[in-house]
Amino acid sequence: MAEAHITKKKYWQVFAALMILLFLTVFVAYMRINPWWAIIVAMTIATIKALLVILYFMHVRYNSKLTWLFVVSGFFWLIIMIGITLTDYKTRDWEAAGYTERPTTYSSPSQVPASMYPQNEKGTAGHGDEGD
Amino acid sequence: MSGTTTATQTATASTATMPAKHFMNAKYGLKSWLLTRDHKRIAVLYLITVTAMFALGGIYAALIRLELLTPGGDFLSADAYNKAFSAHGIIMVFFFLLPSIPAIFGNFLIPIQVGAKDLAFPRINLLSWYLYVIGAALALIAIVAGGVDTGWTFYPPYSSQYSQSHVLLAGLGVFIAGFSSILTGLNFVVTIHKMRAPGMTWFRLPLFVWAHYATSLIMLLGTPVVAITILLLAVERVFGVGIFDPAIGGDPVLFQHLFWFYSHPAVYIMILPAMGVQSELVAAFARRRVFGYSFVAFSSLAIAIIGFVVWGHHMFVSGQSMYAGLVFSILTMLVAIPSAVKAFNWAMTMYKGSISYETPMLYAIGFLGLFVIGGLTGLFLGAMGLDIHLHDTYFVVAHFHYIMVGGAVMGFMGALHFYWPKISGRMYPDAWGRLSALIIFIGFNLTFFPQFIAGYLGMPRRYYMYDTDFHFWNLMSSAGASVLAVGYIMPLFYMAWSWIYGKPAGPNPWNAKGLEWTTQSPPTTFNFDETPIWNEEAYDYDPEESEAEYEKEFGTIN
Repeated sequence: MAEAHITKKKYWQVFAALMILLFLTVFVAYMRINPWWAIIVAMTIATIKALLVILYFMHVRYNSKLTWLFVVSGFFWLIIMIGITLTDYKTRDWEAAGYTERPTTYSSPSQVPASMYPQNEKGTAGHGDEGD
Repeated sequence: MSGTTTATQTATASTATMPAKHFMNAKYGLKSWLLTRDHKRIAVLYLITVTAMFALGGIYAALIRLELLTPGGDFLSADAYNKAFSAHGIIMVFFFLLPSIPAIFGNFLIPIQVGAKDLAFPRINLLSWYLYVIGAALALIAIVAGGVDTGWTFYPPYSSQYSQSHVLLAGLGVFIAGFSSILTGLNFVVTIHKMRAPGMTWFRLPLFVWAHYATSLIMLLGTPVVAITILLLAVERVFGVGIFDPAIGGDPVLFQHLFWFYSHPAVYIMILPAMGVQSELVAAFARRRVFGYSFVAFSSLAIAIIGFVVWGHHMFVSGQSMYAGLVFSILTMLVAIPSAVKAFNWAMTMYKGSISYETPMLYAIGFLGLFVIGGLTGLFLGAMGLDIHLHDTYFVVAHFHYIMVGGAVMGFMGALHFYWPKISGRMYPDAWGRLSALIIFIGFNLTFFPQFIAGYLGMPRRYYMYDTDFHFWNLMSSAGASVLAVGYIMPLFYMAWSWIYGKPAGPNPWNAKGLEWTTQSPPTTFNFDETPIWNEEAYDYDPEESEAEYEKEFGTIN
């Protein structure tokens, strides 16, 4: 069977990789980097973690083409869900929908104002750390 | 043009005897049922529980129609009415329609139709029934404890912030029952891919199997989304995290996107299996191969795929952007194409067939007409401009009942009458069956057709009082509901009677084609004595031969 390809050692290696990536996620979350980049870094790390789980823990790497087809179609459906939902959010008339102001979007890192950066305790007044 | 199968049926039925050993007397005792791994026994367990939920949902429907008998709020309070229609919707959608045909007839038939001993994962199959029962029990506890008043759609911010009713409990029930659906879908996909008998190629599979394959894909790809959505609702309701409530940074329309991403395809989980049944019935009773077999097969897959990109047509007036509405309106028109392919192909199958009118065929003919009305009124609602007028009126209620009751329940009743001899090994009295089919057809149209008119005139849904202008249409609808109820109660009695006193059916009472009719009725625990080898094409019927046989028996017709 396909399971024979994956040794115990390999499982532990993948587990270690996942743990390192987990710490990396937390570390990046506490770094004061531009939120525009932060989301990209966080999503990249999350994607790598998901791929490791799917390929090794779920044995997909050593499985048949049919299994691959089902895995890929799952992600394809995710793209459909997010993509078509975005046709609404990207074209919505927010004022007409009852919002007092249009949500701000930034198309490049340089547009993000400093006030949107994550703040540490010594930082100036910022958003998002009231609950801490 | 009639009676070929009746002739053969009486001939086989009179000589047939019940087999000595079959899946129902293989073992006795409660434990042998509750811990069974036999797909046929699990199907029977589903049949009992799902029928009970159907009856309960029907009682709530009766309460709704009773309240709407008069324009004033004479019978239920506004609050009780909200809870009645919510209970009706939640029970009928999540605990009757979604599992009805797949979990009962799909479970029973798919392994037999592909020539396997059981489904791929028998234990997971049993687990899915337990999850269903737990989910149903939680929903029932929520109803007994005071009910839910959000409607079956659980729209926030009402459901997350304001409703004082048992939203969490009912949501948890739906969440758990969703996993039952996922496991059933998984089992079907693996079984159809991996366990077909030698010679049973993809294009020899009965269209019932194709329809269930498409249904299973929707269950696998869609159900997790609704599960997560309900979970997010619970997170917002319990912890106050802003996901859907705009006051704390959420967006209520996001819920509607996620909810309908599953719940629109869920409509196809309900109707696709009924379409599969329809193909079996039309072919068997018109004695013809299904016209355009591969088109009907692929239209099931097309419905499953296109069904996933049309959800926004539920949200034309919700605050969704005009542009997104436009996209969804166009995509909605696309999904009508594969449905129409099926409807035309069934009609073409009957054309020049040797048609006979046994009970299952009456349901099949009823399905065809009612589904077409339901489908075409769906196009009215999918047209963005017209939907502004018709949104949340009784027109919508009538439309989806034509699909759900006129389509899915007709398919369920057709399958029940067609496969009952295979499940029980005995024939029910066909005259009673035909009478009940006729009563259901008349009662159904009397109940739901007036709702199209009332809705078009402007009667809103989910209101317990209404303007006296709508009284006549509501009166007709409530009267029709009582006729419909009689039609649904009758089969309970004659089916129960036939279980004990019915004539033994023999392996193939309808003289139908397909692997399931080659094995004894009821089948043995492992369905076949040895792995079958299948050399026939699907639906290898010959209408001319059937007519010749009929003439030999009864003389020329014209």
